[in-house]
Amino acid sequence: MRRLGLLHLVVCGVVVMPAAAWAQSVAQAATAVAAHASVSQAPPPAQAPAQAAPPATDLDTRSLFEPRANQLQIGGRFSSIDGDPARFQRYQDLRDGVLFTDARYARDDPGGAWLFRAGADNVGWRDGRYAAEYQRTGHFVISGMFDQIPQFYSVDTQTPYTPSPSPLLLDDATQLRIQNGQANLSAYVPLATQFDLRERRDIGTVSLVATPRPTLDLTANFTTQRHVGELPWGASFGFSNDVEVALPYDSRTNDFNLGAEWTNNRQMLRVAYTGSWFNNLDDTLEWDSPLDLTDRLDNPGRGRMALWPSNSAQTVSAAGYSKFAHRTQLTGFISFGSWSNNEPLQPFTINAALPQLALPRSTAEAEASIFSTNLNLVSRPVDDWRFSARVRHYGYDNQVPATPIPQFINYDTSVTTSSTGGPRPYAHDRTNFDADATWTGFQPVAVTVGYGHNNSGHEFRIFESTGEDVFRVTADAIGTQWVTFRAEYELSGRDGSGLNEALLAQTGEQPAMRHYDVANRSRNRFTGQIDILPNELWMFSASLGAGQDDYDDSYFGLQESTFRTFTISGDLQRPDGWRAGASYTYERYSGFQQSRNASPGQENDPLRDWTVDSRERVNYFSIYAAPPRFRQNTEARVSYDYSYAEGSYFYAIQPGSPITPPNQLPNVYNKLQQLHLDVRHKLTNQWVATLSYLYEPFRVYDFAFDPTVVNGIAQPSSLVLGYVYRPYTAHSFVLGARYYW
Amino acid sequence: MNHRFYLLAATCLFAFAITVRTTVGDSPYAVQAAQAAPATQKPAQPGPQAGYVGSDTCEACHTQGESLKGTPHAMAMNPRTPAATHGCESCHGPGQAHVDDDNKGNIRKFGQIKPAEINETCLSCHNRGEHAGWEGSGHERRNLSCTTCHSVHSPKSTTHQLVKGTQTELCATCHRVQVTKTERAVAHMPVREGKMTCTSCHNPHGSINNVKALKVGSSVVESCTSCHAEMRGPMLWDHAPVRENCATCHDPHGSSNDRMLVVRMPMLCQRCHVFTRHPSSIYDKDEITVNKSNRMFGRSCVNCHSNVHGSNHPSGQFYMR
Repeated sequence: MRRLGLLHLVVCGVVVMPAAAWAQSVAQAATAVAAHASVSQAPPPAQAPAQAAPPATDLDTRSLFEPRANQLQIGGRFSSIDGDPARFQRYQDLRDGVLFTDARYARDDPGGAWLFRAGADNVGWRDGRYAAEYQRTGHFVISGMFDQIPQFYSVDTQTPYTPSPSPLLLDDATQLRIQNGQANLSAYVPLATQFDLRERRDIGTVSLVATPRPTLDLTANFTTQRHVGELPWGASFGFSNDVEVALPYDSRTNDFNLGAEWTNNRQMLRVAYTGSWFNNLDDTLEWDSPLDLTDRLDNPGRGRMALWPSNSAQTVSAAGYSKFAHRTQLTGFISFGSWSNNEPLQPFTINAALPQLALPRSTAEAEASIFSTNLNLVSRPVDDWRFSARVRHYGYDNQVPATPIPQFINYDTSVTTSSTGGPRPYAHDRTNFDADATWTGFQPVAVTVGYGHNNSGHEFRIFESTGEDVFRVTADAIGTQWVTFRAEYELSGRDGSGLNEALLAQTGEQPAMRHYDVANRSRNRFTGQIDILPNELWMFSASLGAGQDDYDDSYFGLQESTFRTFTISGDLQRPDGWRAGASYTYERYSGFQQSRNASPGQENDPLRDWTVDSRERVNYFSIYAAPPRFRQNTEARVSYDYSYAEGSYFYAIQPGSPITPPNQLPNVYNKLQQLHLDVRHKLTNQWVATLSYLYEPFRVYDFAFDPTVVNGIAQPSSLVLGYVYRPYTAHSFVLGARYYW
Repeated sequence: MNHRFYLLAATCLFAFAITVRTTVGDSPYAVQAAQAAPATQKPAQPGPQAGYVGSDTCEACHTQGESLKGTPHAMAMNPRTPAATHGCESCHGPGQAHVDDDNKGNIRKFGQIKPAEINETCLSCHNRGEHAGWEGSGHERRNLSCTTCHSVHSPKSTTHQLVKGTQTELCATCHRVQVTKTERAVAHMPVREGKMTCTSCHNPHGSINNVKALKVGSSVVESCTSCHAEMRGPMLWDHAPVRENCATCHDPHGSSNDRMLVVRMPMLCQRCHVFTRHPSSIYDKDEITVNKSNRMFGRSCVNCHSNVHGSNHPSGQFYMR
């Protein structure tokens, strides 16, 4: 069992009164239940509220769970985690300690000339968020936010490599012993040190919306994002020398947007510029080979790879609409974008024992231009009819110059002839037309029939182009007080043209492979939902979804995929304040694919075909209760969520197949339960004591990340980090007090 | 076909639009919209106009006006708000006929009119910014109205005047499967942790510029790379499906598979790759438990092909450098 320290709890117990504070995951219960959610919710972002809440003197009449414009929480968190604390805190910081959070401040000019909002959550923690907004009514709004998003991978990870930055080094003596056949990968085990594998994003943004005239908005936005830390990364030297390292990662992305929008009652015109610059400060990874100290012809002592290159994107766009007679509106959009990556090209290898091939040029010179346009027409010429039509085009023009690379260095180990002679400048375009007609003459039902045609062009894909016809029918009824329903059926067929199997053969692929994102496909889909409100107390809802994609012309690859979903829920809201509800969701997904285990010379043998049938079933159940305030001063919320997903993969081979009959994979599963309890007790008109509790057990089995499989850093042909999936059981309490003014 | 076909279709759309009369006279909301025209409005209340009685008259019988206090609709200093124009009657229409009607009809009651009429009322002011793409949006096409998601008089949320407490909860009303995916234990976006919401990526009012009501960019790839800019490239060695659509391999809402993949590896990769030089093998239980195949444990194919999103290395043909 791993505990996240008790020291801070003692501190906060002294500091705060015997009450509880809101604290992220624990407070999800409060938010979710208070909002009578069927899915658990996190607290709303700390953005400044657009509307001011009533003053704090109404604690007698309003729910103690309702947020106020001026409030703060102080308290302390104590968590007990048996199992994997990293998974429990994947995007959160739930360590023990003093909390100052959910702070909101609002001040308005009595005359309404200006307002100011500010908020802060999880102050000083890894997942802190701070926001502020100042609005000069009718003139401008300036706002800013700083948000931190952690990503916690593992506390189980170990590595014998030196910590970041690159190069990641191993002990020379051990490398030499292994190179000389005096040891194996196990020699690194005692040298490995444990470390927390984590990364984080820090996002800062400032926005300005100015309104010099009532018809004109000017907008400017600047966002800077730093992404730093380490993540698990494959750094291989080949099948028998696979390495997993903690990849050092440090990048910054700056985005700048500038726009102007003019609007009157009939027209709108908008122009905008967007610039984005991604700068990777760790754009190269060098790491030692665990098997060799010195470079040899087919055994490098060190490898080097290029990581994500720094790049930039610039886009200018214009959009507008115009309203015409017969309640007709035409909306248009056009944009031009330019993407660029001109990072220096690394040498083919740093293995000194290999010949150094001549680079095709010194930098990537990778450029792409993007042209996009949308045109959308909606018309309601008479009361009961609505017509719409859309045309959309998107073109990605790859302008990377021809790059002859007849040979390259595979894995830093050997000179290899390129089957393609260099990169293929993939490019694509999509053009879509869609039209539909809606009849609303039988209120409240709206019936729509629609047709769409999607055309895509692809360069260097197996199909030069694809065309898809889509037919759909929808029926929607909303607006009645006792029942609403929605239903949609979609039927489509996609066909490719300009098939070029030589592209597959060139890279050693089976010519009968059809990539499922462009392959011929027929699709049937139905989704429907009905909500019934028999009276003012109850609401029942049910939904159903089913669909199937068939790839009948694909001999290899995905043959079929299906989905089935079903949901049922009920909610109760009584006049005395009682609210409760439950929901159940079932999902099933499947995919069937075919492959062939064939080396050169065997590629035409259908007896070597094999298939895998992948299925996933998900059961999701949720229940919540929010009783009315009892004993005048106390309110409570409770909710429970259960999610269980199980996946299976069934291999099959042909009768008489020379392939060894497979020993089927075990099913994988993951199960997450969350029990939230949140109690608030009014102490005075300004102080509310809070107690929050979260019980969260997580169970998981995944053969690819199971501790019985990845049972150490030294595997037969791999040196890994020991990154595994582990279960956990967490209890987390938050005691605190909420102050309103 | 096809460029000619689309050119023709686009021309027809334009032709249809420009040949109809460019007046708004036949809209029942035209008068109201014109009177709410922000270009000519001043922060002060306008003088009495025919048919209007003023909010004070409304509040003699109705108490809902109280609920507007502190909301954007009540900001009289903003010339774009109802408070700066006709108050209650900005949305509900001129009230004199209603006052004179013993049956208390002759007023726009939002619970009794068609969604399109509701929307037309709201859009007479909310006709810019993120609302500009409403006409033709997916929600508009499905006959939703503004009041399906928003409540002017009794909102449940702290922001945006939603009919539910949170944005995610509201979206789950219809998009339950997508929202439950964000609850997946293994791989999900940080939605349930409160770091993202549905509108981090989507504009529920429709997108002028993108598909799937995505806010940013003009394609799925452009939307995803607005945060994951490292994948944007262009790269020296692009991976074709990555360049065309991230959702070919990833489920952006959440998944039971590592990295939010639509199906686990190696099955995912084997859906497109059947090599003869690197035979597409069955990696069964023995490969996991006995042989400890590095094609299967951990990140499977990506243990070696780690630059699967594209490589900028001259030796990166197979995304291994």
